[in-house]
Amino acid sequence: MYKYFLIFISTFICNCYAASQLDYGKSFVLGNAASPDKIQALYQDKKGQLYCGAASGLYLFDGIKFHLFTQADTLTKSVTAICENAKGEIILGYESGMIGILQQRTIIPLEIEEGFPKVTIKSLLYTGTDKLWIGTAGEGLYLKTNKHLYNYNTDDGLSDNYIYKIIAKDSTHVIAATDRGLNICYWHGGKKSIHTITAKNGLPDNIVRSITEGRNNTFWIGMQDAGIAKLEQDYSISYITPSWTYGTVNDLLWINNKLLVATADDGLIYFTPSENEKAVSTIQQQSSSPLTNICADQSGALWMAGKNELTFLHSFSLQTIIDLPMQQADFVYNLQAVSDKAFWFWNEKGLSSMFKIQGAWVEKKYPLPAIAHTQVSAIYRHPDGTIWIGTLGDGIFIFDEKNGSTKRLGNALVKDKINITSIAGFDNQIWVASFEGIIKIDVQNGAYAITQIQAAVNKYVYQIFIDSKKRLWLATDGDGLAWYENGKANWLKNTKGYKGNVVYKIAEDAAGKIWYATNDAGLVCYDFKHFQSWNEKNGLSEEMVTGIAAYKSKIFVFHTHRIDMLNTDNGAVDFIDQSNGIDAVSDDLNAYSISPDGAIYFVAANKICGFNSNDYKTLKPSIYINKIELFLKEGSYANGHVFNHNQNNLGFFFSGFYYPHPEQLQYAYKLDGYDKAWIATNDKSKVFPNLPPGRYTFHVKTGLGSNLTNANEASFSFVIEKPFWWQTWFIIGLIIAIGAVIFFIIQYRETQIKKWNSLQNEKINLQLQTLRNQINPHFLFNSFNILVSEIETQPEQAVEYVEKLSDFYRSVVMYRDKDLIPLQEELHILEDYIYLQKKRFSNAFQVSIKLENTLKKPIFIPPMALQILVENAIKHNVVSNERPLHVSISEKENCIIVTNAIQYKSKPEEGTRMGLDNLASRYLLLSGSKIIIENDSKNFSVKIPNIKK
Amino acid sequence: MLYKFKTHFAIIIFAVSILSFVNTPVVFETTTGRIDFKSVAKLEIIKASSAELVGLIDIDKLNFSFSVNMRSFKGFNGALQQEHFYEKYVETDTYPLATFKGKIIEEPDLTKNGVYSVRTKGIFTLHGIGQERIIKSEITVKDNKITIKSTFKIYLVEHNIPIPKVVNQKLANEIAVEVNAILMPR
Repeated sequence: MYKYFLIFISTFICNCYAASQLDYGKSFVLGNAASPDKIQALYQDKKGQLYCGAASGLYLFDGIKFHLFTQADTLTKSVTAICENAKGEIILGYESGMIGILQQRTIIPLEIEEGFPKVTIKSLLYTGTDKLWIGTAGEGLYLKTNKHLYNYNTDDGLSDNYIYKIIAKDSTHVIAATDRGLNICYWHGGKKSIHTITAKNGLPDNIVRSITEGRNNTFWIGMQDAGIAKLEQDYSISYITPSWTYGTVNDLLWINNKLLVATADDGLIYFTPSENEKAVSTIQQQSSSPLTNICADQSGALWMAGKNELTFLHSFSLQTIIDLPMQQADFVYNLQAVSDKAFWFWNEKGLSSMFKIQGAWVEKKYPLPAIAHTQVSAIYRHPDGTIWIGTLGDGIFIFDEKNGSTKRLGNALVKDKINITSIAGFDNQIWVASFEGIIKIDVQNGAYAITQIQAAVNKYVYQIFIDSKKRLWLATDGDGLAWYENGKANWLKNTKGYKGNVVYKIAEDAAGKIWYATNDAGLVCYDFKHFQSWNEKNGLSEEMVTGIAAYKSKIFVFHTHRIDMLNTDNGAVDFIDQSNGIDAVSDDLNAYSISPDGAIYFVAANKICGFNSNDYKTLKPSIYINKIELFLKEGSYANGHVFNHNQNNLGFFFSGFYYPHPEQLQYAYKLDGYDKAWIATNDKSKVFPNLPPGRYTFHVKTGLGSNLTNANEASFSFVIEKPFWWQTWFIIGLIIAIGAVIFFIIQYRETQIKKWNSLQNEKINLQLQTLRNQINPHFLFNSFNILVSEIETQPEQAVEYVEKLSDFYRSVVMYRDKDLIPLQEELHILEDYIYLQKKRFSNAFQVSIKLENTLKKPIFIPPMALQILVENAIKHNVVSNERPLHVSISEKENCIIVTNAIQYKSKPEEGTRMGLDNLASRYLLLSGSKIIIENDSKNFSVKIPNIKK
Repeated sequence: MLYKFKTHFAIIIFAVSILSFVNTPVVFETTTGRIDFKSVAKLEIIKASSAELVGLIDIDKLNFSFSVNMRSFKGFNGALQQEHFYEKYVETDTYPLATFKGKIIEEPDLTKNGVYSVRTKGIFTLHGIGQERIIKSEITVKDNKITIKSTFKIYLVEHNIPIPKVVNQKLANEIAVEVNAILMPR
């Protein structure tokens, strides 16, 4: 028993809860019952993304979930104001007085040199390119511009320091709503001034909680106790709601000539002000939950926040007009819209009219006993106030709204028993389709002139439709679509490309295109040239169409469970369905109607519902790439970023926004340069591992359902560089380097060859020189003279002399083609030479050789080098007993030095210096070092470097 | 306790001296000030009152500051209840004062005789917790004497004063308060 009691209680509570909700709203709760959060600020940015400032931080709401932003540790949590700067960055104010900025999805403190305010930030506003206005609860108004902070407070003439809301008036003025009235604050080039408007100036209530811009630079203001007033252009105040009973106004919104009011106690209220906007007659209460903030997007969808609950209204004017008893709903047909405040309908019980009086719908019933038992097939309300009721088998009845009388239309053409299928009209003409033919009725001063246009239509006419050019159209069962021109029917079924034999309903859009619903070809659009089918591929929910209605560029397509709303301007298709509180849409062909001013009425489940199509515009879902990861690490990359060849693992995170149906969003992506076609996905991210080098553009788009042909798109272009070894510069560089190396090798070889060649030349020269020297006739004659005298004087020694001479010549011949010989061998040659010369000069020629240390080492020397030097000394100097020539061969620091005292001959012997030059160049080629010739006018010395092989 | 009294007075005197320094003839001071409160719970009605309300009004700037010593509340249904009120609920040792400081929203000319219905807005502090409140008051000016009458409600939960389950039938969350004060020029 106790258990049942509990169940009863909980059901009761649930019901209470549900009843306080809007029929057509979707609610989302931030936090949970245990730790309820509090939504304190609401902001929809230019991209259409919704931000919620709550006690626990800043959230992005994607239509399904709240996503909390991370923030710097130095910041507090409770967010009380949100705005957007010129760059599209979100700026937020905290309860603590701090101000943060959202950068790369993290909130960091905004830099303010002068420091943050010390009191709660109530409102933020960004104007121009760098003006941040800060409204505080107690420190007045701040303006941050050019990195400086300026303050407006009571000392400057501000009427109060507690600011609720700031709004831009124009480029130089903002309006601040405060505890003591309005302040119009001016700023220009460092000058500030304040114009205050308080109760003394006619403000009904000093506490102005909210303000929003209306028409022509006027502003609507919402007050603590007094409701709504208006700030006129001349700063005068018009009091709009003198008898306000809905409590504190927390927020205001002006959309489509309606003022939406968020109240603290009585929920959402809206009204259309009178023509002059000085008064209001009808106030409509749309919900009753307390509200703190409201905002609306460009589509006309509305967001409302109260406590920790966020409520979404797909179209704020969507409402239940009348709840019908269960059985009756099935029998409602022939809805006839008159305006956004009136429509007529027929149900089994009779004719009813619905009128909106003081914001509430009132039903008026007309039982009409004369028609009660007939089968009503069509009703039409003529502008003159008569309701034309067509029946199947009982002709036409005319009901006069003014006097309540009913009469039957009858004459020879309109017999009592004819079967009416559709009635339409305009101005003073009424057209009737019946089994028995098409007739035209001219209405003049209450009299009817009836003409038959067509005797009998073979097929059932579902609808007779008059377009904006006053042409008559027929929707027939079997013969398709026809239209009348100069009284003659054009049957379109014979036109090329025609679609649809059974046409239910016809509508016309703003561009004059005819849309018709068929049972065999779905929805078709006819632009007087082509017939275009509209189905799932164009974004319609389903091909099966039960009806259509059009208003301007909005086409409403009825299906059994939802109503598609097609915007012909942008091709976007949206729908209202169960998730918006609309289900079981009546499939009766006449159970919906759209008024000339755009109000649409329809039967869904056991309700007649309606909304004003002016209040809603179908937009395409939007999409943004919000994160790019490189090797799973988030980074900030500008479009066109160039990645290294090894930075080739890229992840893209994107999100689509479509608040009416977030769960229906589907995505498709394509990486240009990698993918050939679009790839459908339900994920909100895509990772490309190991991309080869190249140029890429990542495209992603989103839409409702699988049709994404016309969808909004986001893209990111980037380049992955080739590795450096595949870069053109590197390859060219490499070729140049290899070329250079080869070039240098060749050059080196050439120089080597040249060197070798010249060495060879030198050697040959030397040989030649040596030979020439040795076969020098003087030397030979001298030697022969010496030999003759030796033979005469000392024959034994002559033999030795000849041996030495022949030894010397042998050596010359033996070593002539050698580059280098050991020093010892050279010394042997030299000894032979000295012996020969000593025989000639006797004591006048003396040679001293001191090479002890050098001889210990393996030292090499070009053949005949020392011999040539000694020979040179003899050649150039006087050698006599009076002036003997001393030649010393000594060693010093890796050198052999050949020195002689200079005693030039009076007549210098002809010499060519060839011997010494030759020796010098041979040394250079063989060892790379020079021989050093020193002549200090006393001594002549030649220093020859030691060569180690 | 005495020390706290001293600071409390020091604050008032300091505030008064500043106000008087700025604009001597426009500051009004309480001569008598009385607060009554009433808790109507299911099982018990508790009433208490204090005559030690002190306060100031600057009739030019339309600012005010009122303060009451919580220990001065007398009444209750017995001494034990009074002790509980002091010790357990409002914790007078830690938070000896209740204050309301703020401004008058409307701009009545309080130099002229008349009855003015105004809203006062400010921070109401009780049990150490400040809450922003708008409280309606009736101000009567007669021959340089200001009479203030105001009734409002205090929600204990807003001031972090928990009501034990045992007494939730005896102590209401919503406490009705009535203030009556007479102020004379300083």
